[in-house]
Amino acid sequence: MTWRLSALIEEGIANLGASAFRSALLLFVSAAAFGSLAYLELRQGMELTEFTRDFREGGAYVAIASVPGGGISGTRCESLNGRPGVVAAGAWRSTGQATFPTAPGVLFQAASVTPGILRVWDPGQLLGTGPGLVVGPAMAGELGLRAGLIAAFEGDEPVSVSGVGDFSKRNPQAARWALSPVSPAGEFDECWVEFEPGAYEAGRETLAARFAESSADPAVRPYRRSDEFTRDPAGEWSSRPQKLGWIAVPVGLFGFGLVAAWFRRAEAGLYLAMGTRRAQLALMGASESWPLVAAAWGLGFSYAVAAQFLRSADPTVEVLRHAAVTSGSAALLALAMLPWAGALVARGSIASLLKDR
Amino acid sequence: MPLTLRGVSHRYGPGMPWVVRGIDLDIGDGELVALMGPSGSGKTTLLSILGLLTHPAEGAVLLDGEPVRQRTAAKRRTTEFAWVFQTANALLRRTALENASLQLLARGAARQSAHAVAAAELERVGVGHLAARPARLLSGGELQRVCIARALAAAPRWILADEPTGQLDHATTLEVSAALMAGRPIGTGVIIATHDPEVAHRCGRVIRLVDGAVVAGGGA
Repeated sequence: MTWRLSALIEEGIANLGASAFRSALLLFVSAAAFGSLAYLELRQGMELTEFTRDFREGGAYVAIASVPGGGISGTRCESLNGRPGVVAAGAWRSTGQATFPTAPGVLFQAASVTPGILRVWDPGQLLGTGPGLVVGPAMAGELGLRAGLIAAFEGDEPVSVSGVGDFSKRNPQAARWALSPVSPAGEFDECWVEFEPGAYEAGRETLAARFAESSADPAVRPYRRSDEFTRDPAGEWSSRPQKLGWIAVPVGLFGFGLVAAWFRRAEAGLYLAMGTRRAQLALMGASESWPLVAAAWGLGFSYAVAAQFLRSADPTVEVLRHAAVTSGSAALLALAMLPWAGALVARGSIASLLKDR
Repeated sequence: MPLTLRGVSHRYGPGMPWVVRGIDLDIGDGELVALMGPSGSGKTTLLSILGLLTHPAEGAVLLDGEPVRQRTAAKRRTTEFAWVFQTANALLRRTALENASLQLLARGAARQSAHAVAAAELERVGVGHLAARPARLLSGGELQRVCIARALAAAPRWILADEPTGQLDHATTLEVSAALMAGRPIGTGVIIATHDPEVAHRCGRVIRLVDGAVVAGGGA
């Protein structure tokens, strides 16, 4: 002799529909809270993603191994390719300065390179897969070279140009270099290695040891000095204040729910006077608040994503996932907490509740 | 006796004055009982104790000879009692029909059958034409009739009414009290707290309270 489950759920939904203003206000406040949380995640996530991409493209995880006076093993350097944590590795050596018949008197730097270094210097495109020359962009501009044309050093055989590299981020001085891909056998001036971000520190520390057997006193230096970057993206992300939003937002909404329930004490008292149990009151509250919270999360998250699309770059799947998880967790916690607001306010004397109007 | 109080005293917290003191009372099925007394004499508190809304600080409430415990009170409230309050407590944003159906729903009735019974009771108390109107748009007398229909629809053993005509004019008072007493199902008792001698006169038994103690009409 108590409420049917279906009747309790219908009762909650009927109360939701009967108070359009209150429901709309709760929907708006909840959507604003979830949307703000999702937007903060999207904005900071994308800002750090873009910074990290620039950071990485700028050679932040590139290390250079060399031996005083030259003499680093090209074979050992190229053999690093394919190892865990290594993105690309390759070596180069200077072969002096050269001139071209089409630009008499203008000196260009000539260098022999192993294929891997072209992937370190220009990660944006595949270079050095063929036998021809790879030239820097400034040199290509001055001499009118492009992939597929034939060029020849003064006094040498003509060779085809296999590509024009964009070395502006990793090795800008190579803009006026002519690079000839060669076999890794033999000794080179430097070995450049790009690591995965998580493998950089450890990889750099063990790099010298890899060359110690074949080279005397190998030295390893970072391409970028660590003080060139004053930001710590990983640290900023892990200490972001909105990380705790999944707790703060539902707690705030619960406070709002308590206030709303406070103004409905007489209603709660009426239900209790009829023999409704407090747990049933919470179930009724759930059927009243769950549709609101679900709709509010959907609205808020959609609004946040749309705002991020309009503001700047399209959010990546990873950043979207973070925003959905953080705001979704907040919504789930709100789903768990909000139904109890009415039951909590209705504690104590039923007779007193009935007098509160 | 079906509804019995034994040595019931109550106060709203330690150190507070006793609101009702040492009350022994027996109320039978189908009885019409008026609780009378000046303001502050403990009528509402005694009614709350009788209707299991308030657990007494001392003494016991017995239903059919069985003491009612706090954890079983909610179940007994649903099955044995229905309330009509002075301030016409209702869900003001819901319709008259939905309000009149509430007690039946709380007893486990299906919504459709609850609405059918409630609609008939609304007709009987004279507000059937207002069934679809939100409760907040009803006058005090109309709303009180809706609350009476809610109580009558559930056909409880006792209807507890706390000064149900206290805020109504004389003509409406007579109509409302007639709807409550004459329209009750056979076997349903009414316990009504009132200041109105005319309402009390319609009851078969009048219990008088002074300073929380029964001074007349008790009889344990």
